[in-house]
Amino acid sequence: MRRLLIALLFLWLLGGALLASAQTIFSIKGTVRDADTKETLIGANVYLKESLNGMSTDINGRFEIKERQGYYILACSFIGYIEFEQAISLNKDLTIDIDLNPSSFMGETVEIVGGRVDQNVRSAEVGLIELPMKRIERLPVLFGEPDILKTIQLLPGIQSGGEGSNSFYVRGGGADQNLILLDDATVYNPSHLFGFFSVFNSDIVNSADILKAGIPAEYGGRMSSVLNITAKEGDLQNYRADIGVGLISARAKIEGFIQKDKSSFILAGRRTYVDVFLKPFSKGTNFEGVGYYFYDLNGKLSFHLSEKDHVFVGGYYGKDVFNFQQKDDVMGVHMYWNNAFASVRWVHFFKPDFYLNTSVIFTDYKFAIDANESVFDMRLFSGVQDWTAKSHLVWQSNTLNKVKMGMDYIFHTFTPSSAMANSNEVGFDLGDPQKMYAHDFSTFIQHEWDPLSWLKILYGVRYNYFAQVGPFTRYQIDDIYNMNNIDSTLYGRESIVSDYHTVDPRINMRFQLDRTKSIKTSYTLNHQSVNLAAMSTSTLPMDVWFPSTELVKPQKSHQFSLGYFQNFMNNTIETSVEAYYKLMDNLIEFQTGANVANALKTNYDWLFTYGKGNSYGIEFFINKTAGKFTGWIGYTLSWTTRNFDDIMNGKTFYARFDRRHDVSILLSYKLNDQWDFSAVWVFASGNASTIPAAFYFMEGRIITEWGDYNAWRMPNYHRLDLSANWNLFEKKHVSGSLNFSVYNTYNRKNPYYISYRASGNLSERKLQISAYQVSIFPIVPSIAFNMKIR
Amino acid sequence: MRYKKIIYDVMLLSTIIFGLYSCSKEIQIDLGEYEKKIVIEGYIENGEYPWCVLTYNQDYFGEINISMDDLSKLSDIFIMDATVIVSDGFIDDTLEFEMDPLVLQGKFIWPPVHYKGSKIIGETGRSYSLKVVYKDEEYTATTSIPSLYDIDTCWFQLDPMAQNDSLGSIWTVIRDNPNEVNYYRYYTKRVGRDNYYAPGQMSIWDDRFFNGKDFEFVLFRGRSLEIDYGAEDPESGYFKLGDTVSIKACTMDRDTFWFWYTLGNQQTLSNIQGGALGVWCGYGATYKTLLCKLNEEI
Repeated sequence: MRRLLIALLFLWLLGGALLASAQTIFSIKGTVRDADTKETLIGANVYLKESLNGMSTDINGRFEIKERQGYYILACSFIGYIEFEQAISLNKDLTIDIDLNPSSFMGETVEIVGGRVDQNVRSAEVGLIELPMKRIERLPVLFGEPDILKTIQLLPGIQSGGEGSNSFYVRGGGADQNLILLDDATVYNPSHLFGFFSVFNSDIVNSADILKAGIPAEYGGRMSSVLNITAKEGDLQNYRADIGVGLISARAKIEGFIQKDKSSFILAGRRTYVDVFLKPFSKGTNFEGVGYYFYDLNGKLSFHLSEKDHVFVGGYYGKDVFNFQQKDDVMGVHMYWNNAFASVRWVHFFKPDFYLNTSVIFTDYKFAIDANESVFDMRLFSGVQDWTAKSHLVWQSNTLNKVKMGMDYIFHTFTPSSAMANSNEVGFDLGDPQKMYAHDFSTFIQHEWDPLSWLKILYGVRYNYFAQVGPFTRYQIDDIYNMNNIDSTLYGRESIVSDYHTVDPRINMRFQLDRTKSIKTSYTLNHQSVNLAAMSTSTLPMDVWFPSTELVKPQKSHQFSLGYFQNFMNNTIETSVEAYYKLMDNLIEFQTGANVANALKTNYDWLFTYGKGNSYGIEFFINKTAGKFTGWIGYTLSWTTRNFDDIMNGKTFYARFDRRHDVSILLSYKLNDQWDFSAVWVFASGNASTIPAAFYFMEGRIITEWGDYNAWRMPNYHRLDLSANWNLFEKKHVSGSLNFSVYNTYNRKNPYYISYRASGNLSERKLQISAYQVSIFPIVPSIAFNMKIR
Repeated sequence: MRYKKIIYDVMLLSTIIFGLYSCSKEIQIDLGEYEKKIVIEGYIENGEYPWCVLTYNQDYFGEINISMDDLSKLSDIFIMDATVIVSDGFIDDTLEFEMDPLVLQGKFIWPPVHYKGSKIIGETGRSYSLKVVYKDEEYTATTSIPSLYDIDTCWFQLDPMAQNDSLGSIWTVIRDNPNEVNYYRYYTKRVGRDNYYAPGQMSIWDDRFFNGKDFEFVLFRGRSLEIDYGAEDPESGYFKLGDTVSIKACTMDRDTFWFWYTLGNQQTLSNIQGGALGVWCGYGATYKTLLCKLNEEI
């Protein structure tokens, strides 16, 4: 601990010394806003054309560039907006606020759809990709719903969890190793409809950044990636409304000012209506009692109290509900899961280049299933609840130095699977619902530094303290099959059950070869103390979040990454080749043969077994970000393996999402102001899967003898999606558009799972088993209507 | 356990819902060579001689053709020349290979051949060991017969969920002994309709969640072996008004329970040593017969 403090102090002093030695130069600072709504724009690129010195605007839409005296062209670009240029004479500190005009009103010819124009080669982060929402909205969609998570799966190094699924795997890491943040709040389950839709309403998403390597010290708690989604702010000048009607859902958004230029609100909601439409048709059928819907609501209030103080209050509530009720109430099932968060964020500027970002967030994720049949009824539930406080201090003294330091604290309350059941009012003894509490504290410091014109270093360190605290009962069990408690230790409130101190150093280095070429490398050590005990291949809500305990050590990963980056055609074509190697330890899986139901009366962590994993691969990416014709081609060649002492006697096996080849091609073409078209083609080697080795008879029944874990490959997956956006009308106060999409255009029957069916019977003394590939989505055309009212 | 059935139903419903969109096609999978193993299915029950059938595991996608007239074809599945010895610690009983008498009467029974003892009769509270010697390999196991469970009461009740209004389920009241860990399994046989006792869907459970409690429990009928594996059972899991049903309630020891409980999982927990698949199963069995009539309780 003492050593750590000394190291932190050293880093801090080093940062200070560097700041002190910086050259005297002039600054250009300001805020980038939407000219129409006055909403600040996060991630807009502001730079000086001559030197390419610049930055992306921060979470407050602010920028500050420092440069030597001279004449420059100050440029600013952002997706969906006309590029801004202004000649400046830099002989004193300047303040220039930039209002960008939305491109659709001006009929411009060149549109930038990427992040910062030279971000690809200039930034230090090796695995950062920025995805503005306007780019995502144009892509083909399933059932008419634009979906940020599906677009992320098209990036190299990021794999989809399966057909239609929202879960994603980054460079061989599990689905739980992605830190998914919406306005700083952790999202535990990003899926609606059993994983087919994401919880992120496209109406409210401003931008999304994903980091798959070189994760800076400001982020922690997950090993593989950070997906940082920021929600839009309400319009500070006008009132607006958007309405969208798709095949299975409708959505609406309203926004406007509370006090002009000072404060605003935005509120957006979605609901599916398949249940409403199906009701008349299902009457009298077996499906009469079946109903499914989801809805979500997003809201954000922004208060710009002064130049120095800004306060944001945000919230989200989303719920999925599945109902089934048999006639005469013989049998019924009610299943739901919901995500909710509420947050307050305060940004205080001590100086324009020195600010404190503080937030308090409450997050709640719950899953429950209630079922009744005849005299029997039961309830299964699980969840996680977090209280989070974050405070980050940012100091950008000049373009050569940026220092961030801060503290994060989370108080977790986990409810692993709990159940209650009764038969005719006789209660089963399923154990008391167990709650697990944990303090999760981290502090970090990071320094982004340009010591030489060709060298940029982003380095930092993160210290984590994770403690499971009481009240808690630790049981000792006889064996992992029986799971009978033979002894127990009681921990009182706030007494420490187990705790872990971990230190994560991170470093990113960029070597600039010339203005359009660079080499980047990174090393990161990440620890993760919350784990998803995944029982299923999709993000089924039955999966349970679980903290590090005495038995579950924090997961750990080392990642090395090396990439070559080059831009062409005035930074409008970005290319990269990245290689990575990742070692993971303390990964968790369920013990073979362990029975989840038996853990209800004891500690859930007895079910797990622990192992190692590694992943390595190479990723190729070509991204055209400007012009009428944009798009990307991504290709990943990778290997991902796992090794657990208790699985197959320690024999190494491929992870289920090990994917040798993964190709994504995404093309968008803007024909004119009325029409734009997009196409997406994906190819993926088949998922690793466990299949039978043989069968045998037991009581005349066919019993499968399973083969090695994930030793077989499903058939390859490929699919073409097409879409067209037609801007029907655009008037001063109202505009309307239609989106036509075709999912799986050539109706490829992609494998979803393999089923085995036997034919014949033993009384006829003939028997044969056959394998069937089950596919779920054939060609799915969809249409959605969108209207904007200003 | 009934809640498992409900979870199963939910899964089934989800599958049906996604099934509205899904389609399937037959594919060929090359599994390569499989390791041939012997499978032991041996039982000793109170009041009965020990009984055992020895089979081979089979090529998963291979076609099975059983000919009762051609013993060479039968030997692709059944091992007919092994030495099977059961011991109670005092007496060794070498089981004799025989064809089931029902097969000789031209009736269907599975398995058609087996080994049967003639010296030891199962008793509750005792342990029994099994030794199978085949082609220089030896396989051993031990099991025991726990104390019996008496079916206290049971009755037939029509089920409104059934497709046919004369179908229903048999209900019973489980009265669990609070002083011991109990493992249960039940079988049913429709007298005059079935030649064997069939285990019902989810017929196996232990008392960890209801130790010492009394509660109502439903008994589902096991699937008939005469129905094609791919076909729907017209009386799916139900009994019919007018059926006479013999109920066999079994108790067993821990290792036997874990075999049946994990059977078919990625890893099945067998009590057999030596590398064979299967189980050496001791059952404490009691029987009760019920006529499926409304308002009839026994």
